[in-house]
Amino acid sequence: MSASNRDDGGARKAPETTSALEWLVAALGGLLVLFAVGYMVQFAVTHPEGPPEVRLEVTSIAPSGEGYLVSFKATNTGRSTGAGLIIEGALTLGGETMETSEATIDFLPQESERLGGLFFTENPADHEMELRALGYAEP
Amino acid sequence: MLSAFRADAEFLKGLGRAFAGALIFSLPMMMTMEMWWLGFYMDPLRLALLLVLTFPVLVGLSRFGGMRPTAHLRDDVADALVVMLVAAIAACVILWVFGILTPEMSAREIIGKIALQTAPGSFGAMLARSQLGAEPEGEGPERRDPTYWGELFLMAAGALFLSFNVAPTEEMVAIAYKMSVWQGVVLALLSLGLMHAFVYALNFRGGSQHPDDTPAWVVFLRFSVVGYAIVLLVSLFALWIFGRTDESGLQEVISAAIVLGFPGAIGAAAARLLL
Repeated sequence: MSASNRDDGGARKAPETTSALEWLVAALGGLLVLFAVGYMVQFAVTHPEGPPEVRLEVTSIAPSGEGYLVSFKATNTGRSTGAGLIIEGALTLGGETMETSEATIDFLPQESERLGGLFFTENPADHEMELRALGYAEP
Repeated sequence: MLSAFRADAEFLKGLGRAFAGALIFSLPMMMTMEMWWLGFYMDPLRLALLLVLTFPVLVGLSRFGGMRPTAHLRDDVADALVVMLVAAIAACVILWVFGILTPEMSAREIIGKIALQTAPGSFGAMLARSQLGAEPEGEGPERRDPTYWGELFLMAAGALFLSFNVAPTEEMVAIAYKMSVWQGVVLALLSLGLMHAFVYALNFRGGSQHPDDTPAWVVFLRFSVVGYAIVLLVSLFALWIFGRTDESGLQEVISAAIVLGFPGAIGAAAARLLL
């Protein structure tokens, strides 16, 4: 048994008190936990459960390969997550549907955005384009 | 002054170990899809409850091991808060690196994902000392021999620890679907038997709680049966927290609890080794 070894054992045996630095870190941790708990409770109170509400916005239309790519942004302004959300885009001309495409968003949490794209062979600029959410499942 | 520096150096070393522990124990959960999804779709009140309950469990773990030998309860409280901070920072960094936290996400989604990972991460960080740190020589004051209630607490913590890893996954419910009722009964008996074997085996490692002259059936009743009941309750709690009991029939919930109770039972029985 070397002296240093014994020292070590001695230091271990005496329970340490908490240093000022550790209290500082602990206080930060406490604040963080309080914030997270407070935020979640506040969120639960101000956001009662309700159906998701999907807002779709076309962000760009660009040629892609043989056809065209319509990029969109889906925003959920509703009160719950939509799972397996199907987005359909339709190109119409004089009331007649010429082409449809769809994309699936795995999860669209409330107040969040997800980006996606729809491929068309026809040029969307020559048609009227409509994007809508077809349906979802509760997660 | 010098001793203050020494204490700080020790503390920083402890922080490093805590980060390592948080990573080791929560990486599998950070790489689980269901955990990302639960971060935004689980009930915010349950998430808040999970964080609130994590704290006393951490304080309890700190009493029985934890980052360092502690003299007072307030030191355990400090340690518990420190490891929660460590776990949150670790989750924040790793989830961002993985691309699971992105700017399009709402504050609710980001805070939920990090908060959910904080619970298992802080467990790992708290256990880092007993797992990664040097084992104390001899009987230090920190190696308190737990009382009976302390043993039960450790069992619950061990069950929570192992079942938390798998509770959020779809597989728990899927396995429950695949099992027949009889297979469920066999699994419950198997869990109980394995638990007893573990408790009995660990008994020989110098546990003072149940000396050799205690009849085997007393050990069975006091530790294995009570322990398995605790395991099932912990499993039910974990399933409920993650919303796995919602809209499910009683039989489905019980089989899922038995399935989850299998790893939980191993965790509870091995708690004295793990924790």
